[in-house]
Amino acid sequence: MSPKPNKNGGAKTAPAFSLLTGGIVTPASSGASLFAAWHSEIVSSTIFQAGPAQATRTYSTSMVDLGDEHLTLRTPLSVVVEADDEEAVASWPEIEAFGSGSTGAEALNDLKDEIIRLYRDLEATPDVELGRLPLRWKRALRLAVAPRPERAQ
Amino acid sequence: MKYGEVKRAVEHKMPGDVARCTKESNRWAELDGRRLLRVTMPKRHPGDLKRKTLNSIRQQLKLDHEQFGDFVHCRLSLTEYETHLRTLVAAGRL
Repeated sequence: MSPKPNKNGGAKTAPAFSLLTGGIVTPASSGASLFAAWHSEIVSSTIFQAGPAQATRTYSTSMVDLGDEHLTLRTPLSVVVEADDEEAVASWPEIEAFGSGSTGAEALNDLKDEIIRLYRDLEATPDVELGRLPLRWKRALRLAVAPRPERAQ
Repeated sequence: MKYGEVKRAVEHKMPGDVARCTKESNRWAELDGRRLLRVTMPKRHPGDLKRKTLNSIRQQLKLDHEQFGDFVHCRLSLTEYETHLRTLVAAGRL
């Protein structure tokens, strides 16, 4: 599972992004281009996984709603999608949550379910029972997720 | 790696693990009464877990590639994984 040399011959990885990309290597191995792709609102770029050559498309996109009866998003959420012919993973790195599926759309929907489960789980857990990271996730989720306003009868 | 292998390892090697309900396949690692990290097990599907999903699970477990292989294939015990987590806590990473 260790990174293999890219097609330019360099055994380069992008350590600063390894949590997000798992050691994805661009043809140019440019950390700057990865950074730009990650932070752009809707940017897609074709990059290559370390290991067996397989094109992976990585892009960020906006999630505007959770599709839940009781919960919604306060503002659109920027999430990262990595997809190739076999699978897709959508993630919200800030809370270390991901969803998977065979397409980007499936992965995004799975991520929505995951965000809802994590929000409810953390809301049901007292802060004193949470470690440093889950406590941060809880704060981030409270900023992003809100109860859906009840409709007027 | 097979779905069952990874799920079994997660179920048996997460310290202080408490599944919130029977339908919930996601797991928490708990040390000294505090939840430290959470692992997402995808919905049941046959055969091997795909690479990106495996990588996401590995990152949630805070393991490198080699440690993750050991974790799934029984060479890394629950006690050793717990020690690994305590090291991360001491280093301020968890």
